[in-house]
Amino acid sequence: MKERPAMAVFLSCDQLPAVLAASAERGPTWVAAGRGEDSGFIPYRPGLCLDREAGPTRRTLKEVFLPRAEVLFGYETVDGVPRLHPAAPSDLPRVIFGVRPCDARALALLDPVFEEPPHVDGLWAGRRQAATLVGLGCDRPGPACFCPAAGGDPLGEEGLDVLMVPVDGGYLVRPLTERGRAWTEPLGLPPARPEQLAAAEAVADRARERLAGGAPVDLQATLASGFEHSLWDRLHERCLGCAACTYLCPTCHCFDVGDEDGRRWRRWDSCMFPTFTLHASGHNPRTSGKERMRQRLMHKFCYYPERRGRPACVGCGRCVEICPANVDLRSVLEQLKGVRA
Amino acid sequence: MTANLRETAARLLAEGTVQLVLGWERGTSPLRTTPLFARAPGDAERLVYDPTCDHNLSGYLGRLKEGRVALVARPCEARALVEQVRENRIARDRVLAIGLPCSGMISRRALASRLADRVIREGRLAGDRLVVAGDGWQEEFPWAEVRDPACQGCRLPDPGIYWLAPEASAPPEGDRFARLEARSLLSPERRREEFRQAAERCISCYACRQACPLCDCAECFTDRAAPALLGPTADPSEAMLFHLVRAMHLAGRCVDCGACARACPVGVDLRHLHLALEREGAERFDHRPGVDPAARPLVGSFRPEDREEFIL
Amino acid sequence: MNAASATWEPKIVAFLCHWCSYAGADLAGISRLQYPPNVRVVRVPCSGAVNPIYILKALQRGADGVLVSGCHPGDCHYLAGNLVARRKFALLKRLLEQVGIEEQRVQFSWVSAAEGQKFADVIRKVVGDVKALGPAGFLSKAGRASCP
Ligand code: SF4
Ligand code: SF4
Ligand code: SF4
Ligand code: SF4
Ligand code: SF4
Ligand code: FES
Repeated sequence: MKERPAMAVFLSCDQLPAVLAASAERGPTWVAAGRGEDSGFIPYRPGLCLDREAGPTRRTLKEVFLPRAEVLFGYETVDGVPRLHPAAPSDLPRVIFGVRPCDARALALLDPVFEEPPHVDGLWAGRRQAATLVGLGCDRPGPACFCPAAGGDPLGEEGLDVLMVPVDGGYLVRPLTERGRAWTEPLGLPPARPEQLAAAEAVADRARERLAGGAPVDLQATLASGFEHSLWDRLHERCLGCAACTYLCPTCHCFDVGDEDGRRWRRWDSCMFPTFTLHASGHNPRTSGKERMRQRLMHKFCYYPERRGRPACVGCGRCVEICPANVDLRSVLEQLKGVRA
Repeated sequence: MTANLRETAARLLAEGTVQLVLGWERGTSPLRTTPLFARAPGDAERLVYDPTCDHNLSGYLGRLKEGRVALVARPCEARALVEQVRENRIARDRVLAIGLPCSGMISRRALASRLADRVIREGRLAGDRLVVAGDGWQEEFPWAEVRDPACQGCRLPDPGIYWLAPEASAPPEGDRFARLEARSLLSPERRREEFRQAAERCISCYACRQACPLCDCAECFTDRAAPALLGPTADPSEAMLFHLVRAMHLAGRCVDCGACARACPVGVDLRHLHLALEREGAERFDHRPGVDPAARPLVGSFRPEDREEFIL
Repeated sequence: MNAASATWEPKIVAFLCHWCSYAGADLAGISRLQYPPNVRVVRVPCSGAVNPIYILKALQRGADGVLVSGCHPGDCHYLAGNLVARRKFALLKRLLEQVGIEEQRVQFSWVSAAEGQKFADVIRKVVGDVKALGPAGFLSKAGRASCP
C-alpha cells in the first residue's frame, strides 16, 4: 500500500485536541491514554489527549483487534431446527491514535495468522480493514524496550498508516498509506519545515542510541536443535505460571472457546496455564512449568519463524517489565543461545 | 547482614545440611530482585537482601524437588510458611527458615506515583536513601517515603517457625487495620464503583493467584470446567466473582504479604478484601493467620459460642 | 436505586437445607400460609454445603437477593454443618460490605421442619428488604439471557 512518499506535515501541540475531536466526528476514534500500569487504548471522549511524557502503554493494541472475550456466533433451536447467528464485529474503531511502532508491527505480524486463506477470521479482518493506525514514534523508549534487536525501530513504519514523530512544540506527521493520506489531508496542516525534519531525525537517533543492546531473537536453528537441552529444567524455575506475560504481549494470540446462554465465546488463553493443554481424559501432555515455558519460547522464536519467516516478538519489553518474578526475556534468550545441540 | 546470609547459606550447602537455599538475587531492572535457587555453595555469593526483595518466596516451596531446603525468610515468608505447615502442604522439618529482620518493602507502585510514572533508568539504595534517575533527572529521598503501606504495623513476633531467628528489627509502627479504618468512611456506592473499576481493569491473568504463597490448590476453582464456575465472557462480573471467591478462600490464611498486589501487571490491589476478613477473623473468632502451625482453620471449624446475631 | 417500574418484583434464590428449612417451606405450603411468590428454591443437603460461590453466582445470573436457610444449631443432620456455615456466612457478610453490596441482599436464617410460620415470615422479610433496595444489578452479568 506504500507508493509515493508523502509530504510530511506539522501538527502543533495546540492543534492536537482539535484534530482528535475532528477525527472522532468522522468516525470512532481510540486514543492511547494513561501512564504506567493504567494505560491502554480507549475510545475518545472530549478532553482525552496524548500524554507526551507517557511511555508505551501497558495494555496493548492487540486487545482492540482480538478482544479479551468476544462472541463468535449465537445459536438456538427454532421448531427443532438449529440456527446459527454469526457475530459481526461491532463498535469498530475507525482511527486509532498514538500507536507505537512495536504494537503496529505486532498486528502486521499477526495478520497472516488470522487472514491467511482459506481460514479468514472475519472478526479480525473486519476490524483491521476498518482501522486507520496513526502511529507515534518513540522519543523516550521504555526501560525494557528492545525493538531494534527484534527487527523493529522506534520510528518503524510497518503496519502504520500515519507516523507522527514528536518534535519541539508538536509532531511531524507523515502519511504512509492511502488510508493515512485520507486521514491526514482533510486536516489541512502546513508542510513541515526543514529544521523540523532534521529534529525528527535527531529524535530517532537519540532513541536508537537508548535502545542499543537488547536480545538475541534469531534463535530458530539453535532452538530447533535444543528441545531436549537440560537448560530448560532450570529456566522456568522462577516462573509462576501466570498469564501476565502472554496476555500483555502484543503478539500472543492464543484463545479458548466456551459456551454460555446460546453464545459461543472466544476468550484469551495462555500456554502458561496448565489447563491450556489439558485433555478431556485428564491427561496433560505438558506436565510442568518446564514444558509450558519451553512452548512459549519455542513458539515465538522457533516455530513462528519456521512458518512465517520471523520471530513472534517485536521487542516491546512488556513481558520484561511486568513479570512478577522478574523473568527477563532478554536474559532468557541470552541463556538460550546455549541450547544448541 | 547480606554477608552473614551468604556465609550461612554457603555453609548449609557445603555441609549438605540442605540441598537448596531459596533467596533473592539482583534482578535485571532497576530496583528489582528475582528469586535465586542456590544449589552450590558458590551460588550463595549472589544472595542479596534489602527492601527490594519483595516477592514472597514461600510460594515456591511446594514445587521444589529437593528434600531439605533453606528459606531466606522475612516475616512475610515466615507467616506464609506457618500456614503452609498448618495445612500440611509442607513438612515442617523440610524447611530451615533463615529469619531476616525487616523494616518494610519499597512499593514500586508508591514509587511510580511519587515519580508521576516517569521512566526509571537507574535506581539504587544508599543506606536509608533511595536514588533514582531517568532521562535528565535524578531524585534522592529516604526510601521509607515509598514504603508499602501494607508494611505498616507488620506482625513481626517470632511465629516459632525459624531455624535461625532474625536479629531484632524495627518494624514500621502503626495499626495494621488502619487501612480499613480509612475505608470505613466510603459509601457503599463508592465501594461498588471502586470494585467495578478494579474488575474492569483486571485481565484475568491470575498473576495475583500464582504469586500468592497460599493459593496453592491443585485445581483452582477458576479452572473448573464441569461445572464451569466462571463464564467464558470478559464481563466485569467474572473478575468480581474471581476476586470475591479468592478472598473467601484466603480467609484466615492470607498473611498480608502483598505479593498478589505486587504481581498484578495492571495495578489491581484488593488487599483490603483480605484484610477485612482477617480483621473479622481476629475480632469475631480470635483467629490470627501465620502465627500458630497447630491452629485450627478459620473456615471449616467453629466454636459453639460463635455469635450469630445476623441470622434470622 | 429505585425499582425500574412499579410492577418490578425481586427474584430471590433460597438455598434451603433438605432436613429442616426445606421441610419448613413444605409445611408453610401445606398449611396454606401466604408468602410472596418471589422465591426460587434450591434444595441443598445442608446449609454447610452452600459454597459462597453459589450465592455470588446467583447474584451474577439474575437474583436480586439470596437467602440461605438451615437447621437450628444442634439440629443439623450432619451435626455441625450449620455451625461451620455460620462462620462462612459471617465472613461473607464482611466481604460483601467491603465491595458495597447491601447487607440485606444476602440473608441467613434457621428454620426447622416445624416452623412453617417462621419460613413465611422470613420470606416476607427478605422479599420486603430486597424490594426496598431495588434490582441487584451490581454483580449481575450484562446481557445475560434473563432467567424466568
Ligand atoms: S509473567 Fe513471569 S511469572 Fe508470569 S508466566 Fe510470564 S514469565 Fe512466568
Ligand atoms: S515477547 Fe515480550 S518483548 Fe516480545 S513482543 Fe511479547 S511482550 Fe513484547
Ligand atoms: S492473598 Fe495476597 S497478601 Fe494474602 S497471602 Fe496471598 S499474596 Fe499474600
Ligand atoms: S483462588 Fe481459591 S481455589 Fe484458586 S488457588 Fe486460590 S485458594 Fe485455591
Ligand atoms: S494479577 Fe491483576 S490483572 Fe491479573 S488476575 Fe490478578 S487482579 Fe487481575
Ligand atoms: S442438615 Fe440442615 S443445616 Fe445441616
